[in-house]
Amino acid sequence: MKYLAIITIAWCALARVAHADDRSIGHVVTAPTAWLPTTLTATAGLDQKLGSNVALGVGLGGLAAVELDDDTDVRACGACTDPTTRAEPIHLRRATFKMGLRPNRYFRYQPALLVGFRKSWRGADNARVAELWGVMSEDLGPVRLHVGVMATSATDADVQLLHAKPSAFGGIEWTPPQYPRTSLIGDLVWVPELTAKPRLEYITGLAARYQAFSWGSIELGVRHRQDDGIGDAEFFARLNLLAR
Amino acid sequence: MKRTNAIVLAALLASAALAGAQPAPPTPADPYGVPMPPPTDGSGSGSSGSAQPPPITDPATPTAGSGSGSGSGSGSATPEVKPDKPDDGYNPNKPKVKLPDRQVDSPVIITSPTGWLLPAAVLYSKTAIDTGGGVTSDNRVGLGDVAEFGLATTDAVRQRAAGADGHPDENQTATRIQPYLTASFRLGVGENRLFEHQPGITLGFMKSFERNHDNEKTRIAQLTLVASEHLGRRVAIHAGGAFWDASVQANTGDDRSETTLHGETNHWNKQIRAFGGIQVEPIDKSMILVDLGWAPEFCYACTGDDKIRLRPELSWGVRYQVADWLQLDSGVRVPDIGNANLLDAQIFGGLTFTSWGLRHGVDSLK
Repeated sequence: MKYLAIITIAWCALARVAHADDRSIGHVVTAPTAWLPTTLTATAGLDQKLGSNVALGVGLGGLAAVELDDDTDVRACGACTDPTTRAEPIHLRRATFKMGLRPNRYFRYQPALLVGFRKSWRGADNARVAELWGVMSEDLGPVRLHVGVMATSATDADVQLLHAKPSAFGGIEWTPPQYPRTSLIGDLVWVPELTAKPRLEYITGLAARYQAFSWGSIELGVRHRQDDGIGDAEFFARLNLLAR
Repeated sequence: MKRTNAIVLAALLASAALAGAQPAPPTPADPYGVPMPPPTDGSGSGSSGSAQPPPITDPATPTAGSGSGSGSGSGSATPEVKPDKPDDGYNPNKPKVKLPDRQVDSPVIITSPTGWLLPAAVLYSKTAIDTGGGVTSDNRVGLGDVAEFGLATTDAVRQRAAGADGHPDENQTATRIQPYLTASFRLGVGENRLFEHQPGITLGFMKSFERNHDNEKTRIAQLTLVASEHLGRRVAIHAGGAFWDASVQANTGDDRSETTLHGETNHWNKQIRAFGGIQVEPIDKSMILVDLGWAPEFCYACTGDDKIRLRPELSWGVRYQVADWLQLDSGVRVPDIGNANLLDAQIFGGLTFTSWGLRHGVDSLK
């Protein structure tokens, strides 16, 4: 919660003129997009299990961005040997570097293209995760599509568990013309689960994003992980902030 | 030994040829002395790092004789002024004109050297950190538009533990040996200096100071020849070859013999490597960089020829020109792209300062 307070205070100090274009937000629900922030972005979220995620990003010259974030997407069981041991979300502090091209830069209908790399510092039980991905995003009027591929490496207690494991991910945003400030967003992405049998598990997400302010939007939604029961789905609320 | 002597002799001859190819020093009317061919795309005056400033004419310097075409045929009615005596470059009464500081082409892509040298008396300082706790610093000064001297600390040299078979254990993460202090000297010919579309060419030598780490004494050295060429206003490519050497010697134990890269069997194949990179500037002042280079990796406990290896290093990133004197760099560096270990990759960020202050000071003394 202290992160939320810090971000809110920092935002009040930094936010000046804002703009309504949400194509600076680097995620659908969980999956990355190819949008690049122009200057400063911040995201803070909380789910029903009190799992928090916080991200701060800064754009570099319209071509790249650097982000620092803390999230609980990855689950681990702490070097367990029993396959039935349940993995729990762990906090990972990560740094991200993204570089890409904005849409329609070189020709009409050219999608936004982005290459990103995200790397964690050591988390609980020495878990580390690194992800390299390429993603394209296309704005098709009321619908925005995001499609990409990702390679994931992960280690737990210095034993490499996943070695550049490939996966595909995607997302969609739909903004009904009748409600131009509201978008329905959904995605599918794969994240590491570090157990006795390490693997990538999928997370699907569905949410509504409401552009409540010209300088920020609110998301309310639900995420569901592979092999979880329907009752284990996580409801979350998230705030996205943009600055010029 | 004979082959080594032949290489040294060839390097000396190449250096002498490059030095001999330098034209006469620029006239005072062109203190920055960088001849550029006319822009082919008609833009010429872009704000990119590769763009050169328009020629600035020193009002105190007569233009007669400095260009055959000045005024002729242009319909100008200004009569040509002839000086009383030839300008020898020394004129204490000449008013000093402060020229704008232009951007300099970077002497490094991300980790590999480019074929561009710093202009004379221009200072360059780059400091970077990364997510693995690496800190690097690279400080250089241009010497007479034909050479460059630098002192740097690098975190690219690594040490890997040995496996049970006496070979490097690829399952273990290599650790960095840092700081690793190096000195470098490069000389060469600026781009378009001899003829149009001639790439910038530099011959460089980099040598480390002796480094003690885990009771092992190591050194590295590298001889590079690299060419860099602008392709239009927004793209440039770099290609070169490197001749590496390194040594490791135990400080303790019975076996204190020195192992060198040039002493290994089939060492030519292990010492010579190609490197290169590309830079693209899709947006003014923002540049995408991709760089493939090499870095030594030591394995103290290994046996045979595995004590010293060269590992490929892939880097990509963005350079943002905040001001003429300040650049922001950020990107990703994969220290050993050969085994595609993403967990070894680091995200780096750096600040680069360039200063023409020393140059102005030198010019003011003329």
